[in-house]
Amino acid sequence: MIPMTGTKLEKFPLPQLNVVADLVYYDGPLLTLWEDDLKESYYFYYWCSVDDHHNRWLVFRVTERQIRGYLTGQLSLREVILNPVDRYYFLGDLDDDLEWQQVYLVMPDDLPKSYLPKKEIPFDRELDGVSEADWEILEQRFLKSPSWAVEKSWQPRVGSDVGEVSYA
Amino acid sequence: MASFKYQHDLQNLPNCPPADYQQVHCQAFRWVFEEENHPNNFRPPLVIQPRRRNDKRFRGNDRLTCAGYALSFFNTLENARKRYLHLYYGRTGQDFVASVGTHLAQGIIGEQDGVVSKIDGQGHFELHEFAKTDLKSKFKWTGPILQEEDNHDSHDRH
Repeated sequence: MIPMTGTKLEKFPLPQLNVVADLVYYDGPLLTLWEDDLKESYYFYYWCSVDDHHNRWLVFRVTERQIRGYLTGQLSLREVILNPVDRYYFLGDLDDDLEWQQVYLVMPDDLPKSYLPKKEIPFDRELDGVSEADWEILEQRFLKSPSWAVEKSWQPRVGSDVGEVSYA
Repeated sequence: MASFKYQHDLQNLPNCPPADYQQVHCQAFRWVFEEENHPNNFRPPLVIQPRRRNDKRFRGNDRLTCAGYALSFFNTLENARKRYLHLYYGRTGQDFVASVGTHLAQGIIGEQDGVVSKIDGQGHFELHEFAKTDLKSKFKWTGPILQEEDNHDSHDRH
């Protein structure tokens, strides 16, 4: 795997997190939504790479608005990754026993471009492999909540090419 | 019914394989690695090391754990390509190929090979192999999943 660039941390710095749902799944998770114990902060775990012993994950905080924008097709995954709320990520290698072996604090400029999704393709529940159970959770938490009604007037960014689904 | 390839792992999971999985005769397409002898070509997710997971739900969720010992297939070449292109371009970086491969293999799954799930809306289904099943000998590599025309607009806009 690519050597990580950034500030090496002694341990994974986030407190206890709990899984909300897998947002991309094929023979295992590729993107998972987590939350803290207080259900106040959300984090994406985005799969980046693998070698013989580790899978590499990019972990970063996301807002409810970003999650909603992603689930409604107004934000692509690429856009969400390129706009981390905290302006930094944690990039780490998780071994088969789910122990973090090395973790770096990485600034956006140091994130390898090869880890980014190549195109802006909107959320597609079926092609993304979201299970029925996870979709119920996501709908209830992010698409049917009262706060969503207030945001319904929110418009996608002008100039965004989200919506293009052509692969060629 | 014959025993399953990962019987030791399945036997403590309730309803695994699920009762509605059936022995069928069908055409199947699977993502594989270019190298026909790659050890992961016909290994289910929970047998591949390291396992691609980020929490212990595989251990706590019987349904996911059961599925983790099944092999993924598609019913048509088009469906196999469609799902791959979606994940390759829109959901992952360059190293996706290191996890799932780059090529397609086509073959026939027979009633003697195991039990399969219903085909979902995306043409995907899974197979729990019987102990003596050897799929490698039954599948032919058809070529790379990505075609030249797929790559024309794959530049990085970072």
